[in-house]
Amino acid sequence: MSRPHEKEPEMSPIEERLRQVLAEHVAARSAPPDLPDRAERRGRRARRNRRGAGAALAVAAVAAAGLGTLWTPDRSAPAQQVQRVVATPTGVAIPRGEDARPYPPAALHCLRLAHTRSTAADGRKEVRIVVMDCSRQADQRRIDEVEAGLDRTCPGVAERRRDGTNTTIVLRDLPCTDKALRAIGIVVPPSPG
Amino acid sequence: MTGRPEFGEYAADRSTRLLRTAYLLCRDWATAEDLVQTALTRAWLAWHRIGDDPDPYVYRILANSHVSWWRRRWHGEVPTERLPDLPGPQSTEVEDRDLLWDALGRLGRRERAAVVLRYYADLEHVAIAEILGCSPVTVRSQISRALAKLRADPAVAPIRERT
Repeated sequence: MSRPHEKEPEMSPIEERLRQVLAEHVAARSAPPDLPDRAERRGRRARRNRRGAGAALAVAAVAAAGLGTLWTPDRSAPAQQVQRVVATPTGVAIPRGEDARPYPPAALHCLRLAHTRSTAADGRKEVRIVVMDCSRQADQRRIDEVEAGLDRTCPGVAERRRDGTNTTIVLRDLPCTDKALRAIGIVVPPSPG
Repeated sequence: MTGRPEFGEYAADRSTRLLRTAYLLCRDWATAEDLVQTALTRAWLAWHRIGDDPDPYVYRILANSHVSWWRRRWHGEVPTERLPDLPGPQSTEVEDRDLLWDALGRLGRRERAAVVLRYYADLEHVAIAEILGCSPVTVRSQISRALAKLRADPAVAPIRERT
């Protein structure tokens, strides 16, 4: 920071007077000798309080994490993390009830899976299997597994489209589809249509 | 804390000047003492982070605390037993000083801070800008506006006439 500067030559009388007035007004007063010590004591207290608060926050966070772990369903248990699939004439629906089947443990990466039958642009019937809410990298392996399983049963399957966190696998061989789905552990209820 | 001895030296060396600067900002010795204590406390907490020259940091805390405290406190009417005297035509040197002091009190907080840092703390425009968190051009214009207000203040007219 710049230190006291030389007076500017063009300093006006009012500036000169201002300088004098400010200096005269405070000249008689000095800081109490214990002011620095008081400041330091207050600083130490503030730091102690801050550390105390930080420690309390850390304890609270650990406790909250512990409770969260207790209350969260065990993701390693397949029966508790159910993925469901249903055949629907249009759109994608997640079923409830006895049609739902637990997915193999390997499927636990992705949150939902469903399939739907529709007509493609070229007029051919197709089945779209949508693996939803999958992260881009971690669950790629699971999508590969699903696709490979389908491909094993119905060769020539797999057109794959990625849309955000959803991946659509398109099958064109309809008679083979149910068999293929069953082969990878997905039980399809009869289509309402 | 490694900077502790330095802090002690710094605080002992500067506390009087800081206190006087704080008083010129807030015009109350008790508040000025609180301001300086707050500024030094925060400087102590951040001492290891402050560079070679703690002045800008400490002055910045002082100026910012002054502004934020002013916002929080009541600044309405304050009862007083003593009525201020009206300036007479034959002003003495002491009366001149008081007139200018009163006129300074009528400046805005930012303008007064700029004036105090310039004419009491003897800081350059760049340093004042760093403390007040604005550009040197703004500081320059605040000071010149403050001087213009002082010149235009009717209470300061007798001083103007004599000088």
